[in-house]
Parts: sequence; C-alpha cells; structure tokens
Amino acid sequence: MVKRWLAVVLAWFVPVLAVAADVRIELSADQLAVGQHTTFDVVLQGARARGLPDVRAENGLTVAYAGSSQTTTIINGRLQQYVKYRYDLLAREEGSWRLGPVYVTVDEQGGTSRTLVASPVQVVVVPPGHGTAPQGPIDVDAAFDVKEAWQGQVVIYRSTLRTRRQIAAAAWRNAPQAGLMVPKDGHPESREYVVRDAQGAVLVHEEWQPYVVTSSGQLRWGAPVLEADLVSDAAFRLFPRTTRELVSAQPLSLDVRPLPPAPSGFSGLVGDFQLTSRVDKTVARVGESVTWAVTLEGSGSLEGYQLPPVPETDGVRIYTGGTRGRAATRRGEFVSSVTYERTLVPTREGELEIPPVEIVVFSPRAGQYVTLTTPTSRLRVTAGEVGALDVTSFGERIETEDAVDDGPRPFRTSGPALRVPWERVLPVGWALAAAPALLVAGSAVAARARAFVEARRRATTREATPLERLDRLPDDPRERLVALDEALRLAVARATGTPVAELDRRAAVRALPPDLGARVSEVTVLVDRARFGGDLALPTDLEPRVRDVVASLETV
Amino acid sequence: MNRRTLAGVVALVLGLVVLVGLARLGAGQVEAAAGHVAQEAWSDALAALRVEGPLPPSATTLYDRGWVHLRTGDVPRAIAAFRAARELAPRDGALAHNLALARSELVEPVPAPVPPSHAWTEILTPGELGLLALLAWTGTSVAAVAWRSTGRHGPTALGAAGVALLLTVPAWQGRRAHWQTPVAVTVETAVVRDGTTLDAGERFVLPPGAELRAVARSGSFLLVEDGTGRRGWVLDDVVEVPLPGGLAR
Repeated sequence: MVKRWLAVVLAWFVPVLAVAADVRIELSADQLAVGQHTTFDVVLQGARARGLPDVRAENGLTVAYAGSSQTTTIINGRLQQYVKYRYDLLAREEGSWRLGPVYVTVDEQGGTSRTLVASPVQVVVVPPGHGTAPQGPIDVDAAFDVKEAWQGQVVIYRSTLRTRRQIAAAAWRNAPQAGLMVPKDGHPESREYVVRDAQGAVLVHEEWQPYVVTSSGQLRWGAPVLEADLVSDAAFRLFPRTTRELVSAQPLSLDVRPLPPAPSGFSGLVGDFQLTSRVDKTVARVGESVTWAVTLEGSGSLEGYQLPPVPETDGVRIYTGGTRGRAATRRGEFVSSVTYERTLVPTREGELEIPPVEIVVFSPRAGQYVTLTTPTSRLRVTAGEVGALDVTSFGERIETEDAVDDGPRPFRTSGPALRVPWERVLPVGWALAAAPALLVAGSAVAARARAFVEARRRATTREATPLERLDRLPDDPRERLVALDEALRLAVARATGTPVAELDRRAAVRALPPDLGARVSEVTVLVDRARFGGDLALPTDLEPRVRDVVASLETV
Repeated sequence: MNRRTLAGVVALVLGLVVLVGLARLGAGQVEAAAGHVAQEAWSDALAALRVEGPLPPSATTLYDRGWVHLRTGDVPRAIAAFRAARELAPRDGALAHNLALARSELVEPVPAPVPPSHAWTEILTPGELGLLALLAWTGTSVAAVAWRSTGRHGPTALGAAGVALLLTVPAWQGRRAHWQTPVAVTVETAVVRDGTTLDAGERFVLPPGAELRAVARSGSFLLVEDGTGRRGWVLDDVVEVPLPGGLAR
C-alpha cells in the first residue's frame, strides 16, 4: 500500500521536475573593486546534476567553488527542488567582465543526459578604493534611477548603505515624498550582501522604492538621512552597546516634464509597455466559449486601468471576464502587468477575425505617445453540436421575486433608530469570557512546568550516599563530627525506609536486626558524646567504627 | 461542579446578560423617534431620520433614509444609505432588493462596487460573529473549569477553544475592516486626486452613484478606493458618508 502511494507521489512529481529544469546565476554585487571578492550562487532547479557546474568567467575574474546546499519546497502542492552551488568571486582586473555562461549536465529520464545553460551576467570591476569600499564608519547613497522624468512615470528611488561595522538598527529619515506617490503593490525591494577585501568584510544594504511622479517641474527634496545604531561592544554581551550615527546623503532632485498634449484615445498610462493577446483555441464550434486574454505588461503603473470596450463584431459575442493584475519591484525595476480575460462565443460558422485592441500610452523612453496594438487573431468556427459545448454563463444571478416585483420594498415604521456599536467592546467580552479558561490553562501549564523542573532537578542532583559522604569528610573537627552524624542518620534512614526528617532513633534501632541495632546505638552514643559532650578529642577508632556500621546498614 | 465553579459560571452569565441588556437599552431608548415617519413629508422624514449624537444610525434608519432618497430621485444618496445598511444587516432581503433597484436607476456606468473584505460578511456582521466567539469562549471557560474540578471535559475544553479561536480571528479582522465605511459619489463629477490639496494632480473622475470605500481621512479629504482597485483622495463634500464611524470629522 505504501509503495503504491509512493509510486503515485513520484508519478506526480517527476514530470514536474523534468519540465521545470532550469539553471541561473544569482549574483548580488554587480560592482566590485580590484582585490575585492564576494559570493554568488548557481541555482539548479528541478533537475539532478552530474558533477559540478562548469562556470566560465572572463580574465578579470577568478571563480572558486565553495560548497553546495539543497532546498526542497512545495509550492501550490508541487515539489520543487533547488540545488545552490556557491562560488567565491574575486575581482582581479579593472574593466567590465562577463561571468558565465554556466553549463550543467543533468540526468534525464531513461538514463540519458542533457546540458542546461545559465545566461552570463556582467560584473563591473573598478579601481581599488572605489565602489563598495566605505570611506567612514558608514557610507550612504540615495538617488533616483533617472535625472529626468515625465509626469506619471514610475521612477525608482534607490538607497544604499555600506559599512564595515556591525549594525543593530538602521532607518532612513527624510525620504522624498512631495510630488510622488507609491503605486499600488509598489512594495520596496531590498537585498543585502557582503563584499570582502584586505580590510575585512563590507556589508552592503540596498533598497529600491518605486514612485509615480505626480507633479511636474524642478522637484527638489532635502537630503535623506540614515540613522544607524552601530555596535561598539558586542563581545559576549546579550545587549550590545551601540553608538548612534547620522549620515546624510546628497539632496535629491528630479526634472519632471509635463506630458505633451495628448492624442485622442490616450489611456492615461505612462510607461514602456508591451501588449499581447492570446486565444486559447484556434478551432471552435458555434456557441462554444473561447477564452481571449489580453495582457499589458511594462514599467508603468497600471493601477485601475480598464481596457477600452471591444466594438460589436459580426459573428461573435464578446463578454467581459476577469482581470488579474500584479506589480512588483525586481532587481531595481518596477514591473507591472494586468491580464484582461474576455470570452468569445462564435455565432456563425467560418473564419472569425478577432478585432485588434489598441491602447495609446506615453512612452518615457521614446518621449512620445505610442499606440500599442495586438495582432489580429483568427478562429476557425465549425458547426455546433447540441449538448457537446463548453459553455460559460456570465449573467448575474437574478432573484425570481425581484424579477417579478420591480418596486421598492416598503418603508419601515418600527425598529431601532440608533445602533450601539457594541462590537467595539467585544474584545473586552472575549477577554472576560476567556479569562477563566486562560487561568485554568495557565495554572495547569505552571504545574506541569514545576513538575518538570523538579524532575530535572532530582535527575541532575543525585543525593550523595552515606559512604560517599564519609569519603568526603571536612578537615575541621566540629564539621567532621557533624558530617559523621549526618552520614550515620542518613544510613539509618535509608536502612529503615524512613525520611531523614522524620527519623526517630529509638524506633529505627528497634526496626533494625538486634546486633546491628546495638552497634548503631553504641556508635551513636559515641558520636553524640563527642559532638555535645565537649570532648573534641575524637576517639581514634570512631571514624572506622562509624564507617563499619554505615557499611553494614547499606547492606540491609 | 462545586460551589465556587457554579458561582463563577453564574457571574459570567450575569455579566453577559448585563452587557446585552445595556446594548438593547441604548437602542431601545430611541426606538420611538424613528418609527411612524410621515411617508409623504419627505423633508420632514429625512430630518427625523437624521441621527445626531455619539451613536451611529441603525440599519432601519439607513434603510428608511435610502428609501426616502430613492422615492425623491436622489439615487446616489439612496445607494450610499442602502450600501451602508447592508453592512449592518447583510441578510435583509428587502434591503438587497432596494439596493439593486437603486443601482439599476443609475444613468451613467459606474465602476464595480468594492467587494466585501471577507466572504462571510455577506451573511454575518462582525458583531454577530464576535458574539458567537464570545459564546464559544464562555463554553471554553465552563469546560475548562469543569475539567479543573472533575478531571473530565478536557477534550471538550480544547475543542471549544479551537472553535473560539476560529471565530475570534475573522471577527477581529472583520471588525477592523468594518471601520472602512462605504460611501457614494453624489455630484456630477468627483475628482479623485493624488493628494489632500485642491491643486494635487487628478487621478481619475467618478460619476454620480459610484460606490467607494473610504479608508482614511485627512482634513476635508477622504482616501477612497473603488471596486477596480483605484485609490485617491476626494473632498468629503462630493460623497455621501452614511456611517462616519472612525472617519468622522
């Protein structure tokens, strides 16, 4: 049974691994100074490699293998396996050098193999003392990715900090705000990496925040300031001592030009976009539903944009479907996309020409309005077949009662006029209602914890046996007598099964075998006389006699 | 169950009764003011339905206010009132009917209404779900105390705690989303801007009757969001805010 399940699971995952095989280079520091080195990863996804990847690099760079790690994740119920091969990268000569390509030979089904290739990346090597090496405790840099922008364009604000010191906390103040707006889903992207050189490690933290420029003209902002707590004394301390540093970047400016007079049909979108269209079938029957997806993707904000309505077309009915949009900042660039789904239902046989979609946008790169057009798609429509169609319903659900009676429901002449918003006090009610349960649970947990701690304490601190105590007698005569007495009492208690605190000497002696009881009494009297009779000169045979009695008691 | 346990349970139940009683008392005092409005005197009716004071209007008041607006042809305000009433009485069929009727009387096409923050708010209000959570927590406490006293009902207490948590988390989320109040555009053209000044850039314009959700206030401006995800600031004069809640000036 287990084997059968394993086979099913493998049958599910193996094709995924085979289809999704991919390899890529992940390098955070794309600029290094001569003599600096950093790490990069070759990430192999969904395949098993035969041996190590073959990494090529141009002459100005030196690459050394540092190790590998494997990660397995489940995304949307599918298994994904990643193997990361870590390499050390040393910048040797000034210039712009290519790292890669990387060749990886992977296993295929049936015992064959094939080679995957990762695209190369560019690494800029600057002279020593430049680039990522900080001049002070912290170096900061803040700037927009462009000097000039158009109104409505998305610009990227990049902030960077470099330091050789350990940072406990850091926050940017006085970031630019006026005339800018964060686009929907315009969450900042950040990355952190370490570059090493002869002086040690340099921590580099970079962050990219996309903004839509909403004003025009010469925009000026004050200098952003980094407030950082640098660790000054961290060795073996739980709460390290820190010193606060305020480091200012350069003041920011942006020259924003207003958009030129817009042509008719301007969508309001500003950015460099691509428009694509896809029809999920090339042949369909009359009355069958065909999905037509139009995707707009690019570097601008698509917040709230709706496609223009499609004109009535002979031979097909077009219904508006769902919209899927997303936006993100990736490697310092803002990328947004939205897909509009429409459903086509052909109404007659023959060749159907799906009308193109035209969108007028302003392209910051071209500096002018451009018209994006989808290519004309064609659909061959065949005769329909009763009962064999894939039909989608688009109408809203209509209540029968509403459809019949189209007047308003009557005015209400009774009912409360005000509403006590008692959901505001609900948290208090929850706390009151849950309090007894929490108290019970808390006390139960505390009791368990106490029992656990007590058990641990007993397990770790075993009480010394009487004989062990006799082996460790103190030197001081008084303390030595006390220790003798305690060892004797403990031995009697253990022999009679009585707790030491409850020990009644006479009763205990009676509980022992007669001869042993007599010896215990005799030795006890001797010890008492020595302790309490003021005779500190111990009988020379007292200790051997006590030891002898204790040893006998241990055998009971 | 020993005496102390019994006393605790009785105190808890009494506390709940007092809480609910206070809520009912607050609402009941003003019941007579809203009822029996003369249906033909529209201005008088609206004046009677205008609620002043610290407590918000009830679903009944909002329903009647929407009804009067609908009968007098002020469709955008009717939509705003019905939409707000639905937040308080999601299972009211007559309310849904009147809202659909008001929407159908709009002349210009409007953006899709903002979808509910959580699917269950189509059936329950956050307060109702919170009350269920309160009952579940009470049951948890009773079972926990019984377990402490008798050593039994431990699994019952755990199960009740799980149910209570499952109810409390969405109730808390819904309670927070509830502060974001529905509004509707009441003027010919509402300009949605980038910022909270009149010279801020125009983002887009909205026709009368467009349903929005107000999420924040800054001075005279409201930050609103429409059903397509567009956001921006509008002057509060151009929209009807039937349930000011946390957005009151």
